[in-house]
Amino acid sequence: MIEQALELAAKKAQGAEITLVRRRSTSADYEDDRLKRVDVAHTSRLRARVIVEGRVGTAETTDPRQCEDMISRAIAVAQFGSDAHFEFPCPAVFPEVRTYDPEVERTPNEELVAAGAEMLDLVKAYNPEIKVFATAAWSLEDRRILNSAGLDYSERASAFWLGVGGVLVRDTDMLFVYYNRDWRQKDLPTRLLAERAIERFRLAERTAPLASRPLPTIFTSRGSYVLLVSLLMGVNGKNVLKGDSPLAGRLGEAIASPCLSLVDDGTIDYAPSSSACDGEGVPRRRTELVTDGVLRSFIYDLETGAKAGAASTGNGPGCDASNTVISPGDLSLEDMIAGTDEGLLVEHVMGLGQSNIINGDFSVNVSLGYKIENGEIVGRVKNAMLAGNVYDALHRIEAVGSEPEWAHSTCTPPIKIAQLSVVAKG
Amino acid sequence: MRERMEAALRDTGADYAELRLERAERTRLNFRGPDLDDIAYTSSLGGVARALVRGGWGVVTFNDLDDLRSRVLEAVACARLVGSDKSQLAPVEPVEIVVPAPAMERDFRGVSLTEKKRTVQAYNDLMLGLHRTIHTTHTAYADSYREVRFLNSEGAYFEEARPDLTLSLSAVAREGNLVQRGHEGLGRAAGFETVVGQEAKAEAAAHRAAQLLQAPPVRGGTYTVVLNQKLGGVFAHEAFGHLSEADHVYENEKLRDLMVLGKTFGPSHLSIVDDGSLPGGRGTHPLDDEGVPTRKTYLIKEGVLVGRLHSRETAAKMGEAVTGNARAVGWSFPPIVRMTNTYIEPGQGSLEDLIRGVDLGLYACDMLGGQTMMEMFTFSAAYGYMIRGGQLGELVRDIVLTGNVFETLRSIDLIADDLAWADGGGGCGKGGQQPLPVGLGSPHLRIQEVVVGGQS
Repeated sequence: MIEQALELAAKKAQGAEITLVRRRSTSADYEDDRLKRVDVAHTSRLRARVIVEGRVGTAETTDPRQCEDMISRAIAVAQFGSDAHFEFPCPAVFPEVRTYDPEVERTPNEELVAAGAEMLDLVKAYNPEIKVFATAAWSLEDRRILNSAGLDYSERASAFWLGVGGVLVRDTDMLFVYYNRDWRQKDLPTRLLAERAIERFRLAERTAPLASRPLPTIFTSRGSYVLLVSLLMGVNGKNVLKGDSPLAGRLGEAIASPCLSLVDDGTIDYAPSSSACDGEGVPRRRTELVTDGVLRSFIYDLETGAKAGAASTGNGPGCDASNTVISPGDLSLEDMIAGTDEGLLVEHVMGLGQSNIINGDFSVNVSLGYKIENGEIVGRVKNAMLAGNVYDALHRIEAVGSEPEWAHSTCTPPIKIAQLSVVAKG
Repeated sequence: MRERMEAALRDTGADYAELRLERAERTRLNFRGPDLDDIAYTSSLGGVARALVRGGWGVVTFNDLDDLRSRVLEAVACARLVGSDKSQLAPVEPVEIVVPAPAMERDFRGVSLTEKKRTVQAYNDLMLGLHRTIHTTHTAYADSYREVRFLNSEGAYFEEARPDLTLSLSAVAREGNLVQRGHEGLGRAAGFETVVGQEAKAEAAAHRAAQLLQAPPVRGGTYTVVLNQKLGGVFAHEAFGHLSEADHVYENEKLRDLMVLGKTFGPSHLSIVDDGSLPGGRGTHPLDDEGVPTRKTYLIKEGVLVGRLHSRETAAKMGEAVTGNARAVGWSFPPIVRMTNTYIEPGQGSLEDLIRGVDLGLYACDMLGGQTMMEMFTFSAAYGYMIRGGQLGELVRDIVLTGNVFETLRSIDLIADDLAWADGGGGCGKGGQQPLPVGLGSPHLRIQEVVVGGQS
């Protein structure tokens, strides 16, 4: 069917690309201490991208009977599309990347149910008052891309997902904790995940008062997304091309403290965003974005790369990062905390993106964070706002931790910033 | 199709089963700066089967509608793995209706791409040309037409066409490193006529972005804050509305104790309502996605918690009446408890009355976004003015408000009589389901002691 679709599109267009994605997934979900749902999905999606008279058009459908209609829609859309400064790529040599573990799809639903129950029981054993939620899930995706330049690429990718957390209510105070992990291989570290969640509850058993003033701030591995979100928008080639990124025109400049190095790497075996080929037939690769604080590269897809006079970095379509990895430093989180007289440890925030995020500005509520006094965590902070600018903060990185941790497709160590503005109530 | 749905749901062995099928088509068109950044057409056909066995749910989503029976039976098999108790669903008289499609003067499915592009481009160009500091724009148009069919094992059936049209106008002004945004939007279940003649919104967005460049950031601290109607609506929805969703509450004893009906939550002049039957509301439908008729539900009446929002399951488990609030964002999701049109009832007096007597405060307007995590909320005002000596002062930027919802509700000391509905094209997100069209309404509100983020 997909071959005929390409043939049909290629007759009417100078270039054509057809993508078919079929997906199967199953998940077991626990809410409020109870198994609530088992969900199964069988979905498929067909996408056409065409180049007609030098312009790009796309259309999509989930209904294979609408295939012909989809192609004529894509062609109709192309008359308004952006100028195609690129051609669909010829078959390339793709890197060896492991994305599929056959054990994943062999997981019976009963095993997902049992994994959730194990995590739930462990958290309940720590504190029966916590209302626990947990998820165990897997998915399998078959993706095929065909284009008029002769590319015919197929890939099978699996994913396995575990998560556990809970809500603890005391009077009008609600503490919310969640810890999860996903990987393309089957992996059931139920005990580890439950322990991580319990550790977070344990640290929050006490509440610590906080005064409004600038404080040294440590972002945990999970908390470092506060810094990463803006930075990844900044290296997105499309934002650079449009002049919206504050990093535009600054290749080769120091944009961060020398202790920061960041790569985009879509070729790590079994990592959540790994694959041999991106969404438009270009090999995935490893791209150094920031090395020792110096901005080294942006990330591009075919269309944006062509407009910017750069090659696609295998991040298409959309110039979005694949897996992002920050190189570890040499200080453990324990030592980072021990070396802080008074400070804040940030695990999770709320409201990121409500400020001018592409410019690096943030003003967020610390939804899970801890006060550090004399080198020790003394309790959870409440009603605290953390404000600043990511690009200022990057220059004031005091230390990068030695223990990186994956959180979906980012792998980051803890990061300590010399000072950030904190506004607190009470 | 109805016969096939009926056959698929017959004698499944489940305590309850339902099928919801949807055919949808969507067009989207985005300008970023002077360029058309994205234009695409999407069509979809899909469905969801949901089954309840001994209190456990099984949910199967699919695109291939050829074998509905297998999908339903798979959902029943999933539900069997879950259920170990008793199924509880509040009884509802099965309704069978074909909902008349909302009036569209001009059905957007018949409007050419050329005209859609021309219309949107005109707004985009207007914003770009309005001021030298306008650095870029994001102008997004999206239309969708969803045809939904629902049947459950009790015989409830509906067919409903759900058109939706959104226009989002964002101007970004820049001077050196300082970047400010102005945003206006609209969202309606209506035809293409809705997006015609909206030049005033485009101008407002661009002017505001340019003016904010000249405005100082608000100083972080604790202020008496007056919220305008749009921001008041977001507050009612985000900070309080989500806590009224019974799925958060019904199996959590602590939360049940906290959200116990009859408890005083605010001053006696505070009433908050959710009404899915409100004519012309953005969250209005005759039935929810479980086939339950929508209605007006008081959440807070005269300061006292009197109601909450339910699905059939949460209503049965809490022994309360159904409210028609089970909604799904599309074919790939089961319905969950959601708000429809949520608003704060008007009080007395005007904006001037609220500002008078405030020595140092903040008048916070419109929203850039909002988020809650149980009792904590944070939302960003798009712009605001200082209040000094009982009068509006200078324009300020970068206003982020945060706090505990219970304390904040108690601190609402004045409510004006000027209820208005936000015209924005945004939507609500919950459980991965977004954007769900909802109505947000409020009069001007005054709140004492609100934490405002920023450099202190």
